[in-house]
Amino acid sequence: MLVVVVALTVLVARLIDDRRATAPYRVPDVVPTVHDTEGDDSADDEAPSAYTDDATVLAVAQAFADAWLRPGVTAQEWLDGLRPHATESLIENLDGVDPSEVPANATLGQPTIQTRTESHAEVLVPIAAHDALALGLVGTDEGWRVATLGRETG
Amino acid sequence: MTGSVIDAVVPRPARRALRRVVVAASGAFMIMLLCAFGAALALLDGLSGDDAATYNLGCGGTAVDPAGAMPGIAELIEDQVRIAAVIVKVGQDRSVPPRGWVIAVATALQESHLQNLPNLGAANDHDSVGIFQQRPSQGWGTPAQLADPAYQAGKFYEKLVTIPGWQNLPLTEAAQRVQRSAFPDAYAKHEPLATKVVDALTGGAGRAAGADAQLRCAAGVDIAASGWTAPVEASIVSGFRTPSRPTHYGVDLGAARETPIRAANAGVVIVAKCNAHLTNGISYSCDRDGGYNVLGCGWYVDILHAGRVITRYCHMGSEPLVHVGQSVAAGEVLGYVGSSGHSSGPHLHFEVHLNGDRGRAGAVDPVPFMNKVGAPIGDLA
Repeated sequence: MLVVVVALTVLVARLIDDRRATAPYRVPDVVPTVHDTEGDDSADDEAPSAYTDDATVLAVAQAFADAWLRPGVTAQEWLDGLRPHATESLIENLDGVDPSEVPANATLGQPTIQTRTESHAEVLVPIAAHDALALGLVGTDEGWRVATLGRETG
Repeated sequence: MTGSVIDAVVPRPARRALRRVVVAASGAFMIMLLCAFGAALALLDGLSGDDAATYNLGCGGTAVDPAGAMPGIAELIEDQVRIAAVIVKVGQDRSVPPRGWVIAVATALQESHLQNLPNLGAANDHDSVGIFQQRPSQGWGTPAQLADPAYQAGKFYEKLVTIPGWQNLPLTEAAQRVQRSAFPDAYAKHEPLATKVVDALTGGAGRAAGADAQLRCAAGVDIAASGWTAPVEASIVSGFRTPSRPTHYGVDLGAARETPIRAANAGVVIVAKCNAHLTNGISYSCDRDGGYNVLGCGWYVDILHAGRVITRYCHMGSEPLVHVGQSVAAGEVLGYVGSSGHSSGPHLHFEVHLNGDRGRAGAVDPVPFMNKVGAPIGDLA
């Protein structure tokens, strides 16, 4: 009896199963095949070891950190201080934050660039032992701006 | 084709819904019968041959028991895993879709390292307590209520599900809307470990469709609870570092010209440009098809994701829709399939890099990587 039920269930589901063959992104037969001999078709514009505007990137990171490390100010003053150095979307993400939760008053050492491309940089700004702001900066038409703000501990 | 009888009479969405009901019902039935009929599982697996690889890995059917035995997680001790189990259990009980479980575990990893922190007195950050560092003074609950991780998790989910479209927001954005932290992007880096924990506790819920409370393996354009999705749905026409193409550090997906290319995971666009030149170094337009004599990956985009993973999308047919510095959500359209740069026909060349390394040393085979995060690519026929 149970065997019959199992078989029937499977059969019904098989009938209704529309499979991937009818999925909207099915590859049409007319697509030309990519030749296997094509070799390396990745980017061949790998980054230089340093960029001429590294100093600018570090200065913006420092200015942002200085404006962020002010736990004593009002929420509005805090946001206004960050605004010139941050993207609009980061300011939106910081709206509603209580600045008294900022855990330090000043940086503890120099900012350092972790990775860089032409228009993007990851910068660490130490604020305590084993504690740093992890900033993602982007080159915009208005100059470099901090776009993301995370934390590196340990 | 097995579905042809139904094709003629039932519209596709209805068929899909019907199929889901039948598969879900048959699945529930199977579980009851499994003890006696182990072979039934193999039959059910055979139902969806194209999804077999993900089904074999599991997509999170296990109900979590925080009082039971905990799976081993290399990065955590058992007490931490048990806290995560409470978070997932509360999410299951409230029918929160599995993406919510990953967001909640990642948030608790950042706020407390999955420890139920008491008020530490003078050393405490304001009146924050517990696994999510919620504050009694900010309306999260009384100190007595906030001593209980299950209560804390409940309050977290209550707030999370009020955020419009939370299921498809980048993890860090969804978490930040709940938490309002001074470090808004600190949550993102915990997405991989949170997914690993949820997978271990539930039997793979990180690979389930993230927005669907009815657990099912993510497929097609679904975004998995892990936060990952396939960039295009197409077969692989050339693999990663095959014997005939040892310097091919990605996979070629044979999608048709103009197919939308979607971000595989949330992140920040770090490159969006044209890379094409002739062998003599003279630059070449990316707005026209390239060829054998053209080098470079054409119009392309690099995205930096949580955990310092980078994905690359090459040979777009026109300028990318995104710009450097832009935050993108998983599934966001980056551009369209084309044949710019070193390409002999329209396809998406897709790469995955680890450790924030954009060079060849950082490249890994995208197929097992994407399979593991619940967004399998290629071989759909």
